[in-house]
Amino acid sequence: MTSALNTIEIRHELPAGIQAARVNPGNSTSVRVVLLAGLLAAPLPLGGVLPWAWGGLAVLAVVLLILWGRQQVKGRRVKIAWSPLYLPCTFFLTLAAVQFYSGHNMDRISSREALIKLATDVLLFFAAVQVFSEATKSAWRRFVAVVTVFMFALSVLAIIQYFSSGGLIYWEVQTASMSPFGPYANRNHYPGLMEMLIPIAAAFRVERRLPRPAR
Amino acid sequence: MKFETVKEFSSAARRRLIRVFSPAGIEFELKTKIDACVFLAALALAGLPLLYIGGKAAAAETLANSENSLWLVRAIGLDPSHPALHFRLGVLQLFSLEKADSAMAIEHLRKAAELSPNSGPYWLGVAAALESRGETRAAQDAFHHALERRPMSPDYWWRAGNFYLRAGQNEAAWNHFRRVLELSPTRSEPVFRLCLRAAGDFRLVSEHVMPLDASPGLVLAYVDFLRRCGEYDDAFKMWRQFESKASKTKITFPTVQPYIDGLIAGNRVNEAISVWRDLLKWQVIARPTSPSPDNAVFNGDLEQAPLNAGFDWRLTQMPFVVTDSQAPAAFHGAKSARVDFTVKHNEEYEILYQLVPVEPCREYRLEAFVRSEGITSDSGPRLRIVDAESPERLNISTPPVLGTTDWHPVGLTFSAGRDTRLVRLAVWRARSRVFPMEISGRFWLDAVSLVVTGPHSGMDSTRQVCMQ
Repeated sequence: MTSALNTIEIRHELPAGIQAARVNPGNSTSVRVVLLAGLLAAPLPLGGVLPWAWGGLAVLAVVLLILWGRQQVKGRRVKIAWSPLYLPCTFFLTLAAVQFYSGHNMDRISSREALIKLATDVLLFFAAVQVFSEATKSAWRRFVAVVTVFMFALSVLAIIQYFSSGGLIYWEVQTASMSPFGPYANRNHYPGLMEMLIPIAAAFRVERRLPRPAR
Repeated sequence: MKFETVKEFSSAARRRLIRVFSPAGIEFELKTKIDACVFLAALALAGLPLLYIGGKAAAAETLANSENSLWLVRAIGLDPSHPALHFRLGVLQLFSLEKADSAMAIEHLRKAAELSPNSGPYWLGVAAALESRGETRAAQDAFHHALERRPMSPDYWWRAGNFYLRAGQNEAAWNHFRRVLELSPTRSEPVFRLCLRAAGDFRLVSEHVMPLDASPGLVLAYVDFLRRCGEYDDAFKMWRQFESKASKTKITFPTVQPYIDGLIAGNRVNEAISVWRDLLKWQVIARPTSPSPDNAVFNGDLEQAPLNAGFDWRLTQMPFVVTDSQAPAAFHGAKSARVDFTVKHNEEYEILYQLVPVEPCREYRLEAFVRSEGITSDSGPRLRIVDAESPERLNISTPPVLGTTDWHPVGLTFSAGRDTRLVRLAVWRARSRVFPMEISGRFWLDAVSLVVTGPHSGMDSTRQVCMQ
């Protein structure tokens, strides 16, 4: 009980990330590592379009959820960080589920696949919010460093492949598309990935230059 | 809660909104082991259905991609409600060289169609399998189902038409092919080819396959198709049918152009002339105002933009030469043709030409007004007349236009031989052999006329007259 009171005192004094780390003795670093590794590996199998790739992501999402839950149980305290984006996520997931189970779809199997992918994305988003809401400054820095290195490596690979593979992905895989780029059969999807990764590195860089109150 | 003012209400609403969207989360303690178990069970309840359904679906899809019937059977075992898996297995069993089993194939294809009743391709698969087993009536029903699902797909109507043709039900086949033409007039060629081969009579195709309200473009596509098949007479008969149709006024020249150019290329000059006259009569092409009604040259004053086809002027794209067929400086009327030799070069050029029908065994007089500006080399532009079919029969030209000259007439007289029915009237420049060889400068052409001056004079070689 005394320990709990002390913890409450500390929570008022420290920034949010450190505060959460103190509250939960279970460390979320391992969950973050699994999440990051899974997300960075996701586009590599031809943009994640292969059935085993998206199936693997669904498994990863569930594993992350369980790992996060285990960590909460270890800390004997559940803290669910809130994001306003949960509202649209829940809405669209419910809509898709209602459409699928009520039979209001033109193609049942495609709807099922879309529902699986949407549920996977929602779970991954939930897990990411939970583990990153507790991240310390150094954890964010490591995350950005990993994303930047991955982005750079993938870009170099994509450029070398573009000039030397003769239209094959990884110099091996022939696709129906005439213009693959990086791991994607449709080259327009590659900038889609970069649009998501570049802002992470850019925002971190900009944030470091800002004076402290603006951060 | 009561609010005294709007301001109070809005501030309370704002506070509530902030609470909903604020980053503060939910926190609770897991006091006992039971609490922890309940929490973990709730997480499992949220995650395990995804693990089960997603894992099974992905595993089945991965197995199915192997295109091996054994793996496909296992995939169906994992995901029996997936119609594509049944369809793939059905197709494999239908077309397998080693172990074809059409009965099982039909079973799987039917299952695919039942699982996804809105899908047309599955019904087409059922129809193909049933047809291969000789079950025509059932195959017909399957095609009917497929067409019900994709009534606007010309491809489906085409496949059904082919089926009826194979089944010997020609009337049904014509109806289906007619629908193909209605839905996709641009895909008319394979329909015409197949129907003409099956029917053997162009009239039958035009009466049974051609839609009642067929656009002139579609009818002309059929006419040109017949022409390309070498059936010139049938094509011309089809063309003549336009005479009695009201739709003839809706004909546009680009739709007729392949036919008339094909007739000219095929040396069917009389038919080409007839079609050209019809186009003039139906005002599909504008009749140019000519000072002389006897002038055989169409658009001789170059007052209208050339059609680049038929019996009008045609411009040839040549390197280092720019041609303006509607130049403002004119000898007669408002426009003329201007040729700019922009870069000094020594090449043979045929810049502008027209195919002019002539009567055999007649003497003709060609006249035109030309002007030049700074034309270099000893070989300037000339007017040339060549027999369009055989240049050996007739090949004659005016003297070259050189240096700078004002508007002046050039001309020649020639006799059309016994076999000459079409001549090529061109602005032509021969390659020079005398230094300085390269041509540059400008050349204008206007008021071109070709008139009959009398019957064949009996002269063997043509008399060439320069009126300069």
